[in-house]
Amino acid sequence: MVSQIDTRVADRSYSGTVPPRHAHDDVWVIVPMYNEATCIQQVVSGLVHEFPNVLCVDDGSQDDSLNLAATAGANVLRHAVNLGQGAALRTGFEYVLERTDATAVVTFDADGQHQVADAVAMVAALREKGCDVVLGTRGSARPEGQPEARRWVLRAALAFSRASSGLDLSDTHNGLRVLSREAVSLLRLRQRGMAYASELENLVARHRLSWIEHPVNITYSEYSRRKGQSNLNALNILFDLAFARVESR
Amino acid sequence: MIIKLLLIASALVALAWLVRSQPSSRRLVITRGTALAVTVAWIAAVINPDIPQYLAEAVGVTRGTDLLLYALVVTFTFTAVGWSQRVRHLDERISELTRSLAIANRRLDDIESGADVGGSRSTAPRADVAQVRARG
Repeated sequence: MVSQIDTRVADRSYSGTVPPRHAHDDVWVIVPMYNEATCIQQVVSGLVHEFPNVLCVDDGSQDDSLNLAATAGANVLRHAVNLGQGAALRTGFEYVLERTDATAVVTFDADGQHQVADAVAMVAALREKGCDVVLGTRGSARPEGQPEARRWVLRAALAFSRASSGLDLSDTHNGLRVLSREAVSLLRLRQRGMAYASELENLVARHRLSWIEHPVNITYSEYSRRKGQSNLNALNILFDLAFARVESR
Repeated sequence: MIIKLLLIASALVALAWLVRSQPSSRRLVITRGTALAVTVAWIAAVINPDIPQYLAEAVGVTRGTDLLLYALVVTFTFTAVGWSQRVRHLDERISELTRSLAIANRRLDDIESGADVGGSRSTAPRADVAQVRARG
């Protein structure tokens, strides 16, 4: 009986081109998505070659993102209403903690700005160094196609993140991260919107998790520029954080 | 002037309520008590229009209408603070609901399709499948 079900579980998850036993069996990739029909299929297809467990958390999209992601081979969760990227990630975290034996979790943006190879290298780094958190960093070099205004906003955001978390970061609000299961269980994000990225850094500092940075490449495509946050949203993030800080006292 | 103290104190209290996220029962009593007092004062002022003027002079305001304006501003501020907090708590609850609904739906799908999530999970999901099969 048990072996029968085992086979079927295996059949379902290792369909297609993915080999039966995979080095990343115990890694779950969480992709929060909101109206990403344009390129989610491509992103998921790229991921499933390396990671058999991809979980797309659809944050109440109005387009066909959910079906496209599922067709491309992702596990999908759906928020009935739009909550924000922070909330979508947390849903993914809770699902992975409750329902899987994952030892590591990758967070990956749905707009195609990250490279799967970077995620693979970061998982390897997490295992090699035995640390809790690997944060993707764009480094100090300016990525190809990054607009000037975005560069200044990121600089200001970095200065703020370094000061508020006390971590010696070289980049901030980069969507590509690898977290150990322990780290995921400690990172109870309360920020629903984009401010979660700063909150995550603060929680890493507060729980004294071991962390390293890992250089990653960012592709600034026309699509990701259009889809991405406006620079002005940085002010909203500041406000959310300031409010949460006063409130939690 | 007494009115200055009253107005500054009310602004500070509103700020304190804004940043203290948990509405307490004491706060509820104060809100309800104030609402009651305002209603009584309102009726009294309608019956005897001299009352606002008398109160205004007592706290150092020239005209009764000015005192009413001040009271209106303070009331509005507290109402706004109260509602923004309610909305924030509702947002938190909606997030929790949405999250558990998303996970529960996924679980249902897994059970219906007779397979569990594509990981190497443990005993719990298998027990689910077995239960459904046993019932079926």
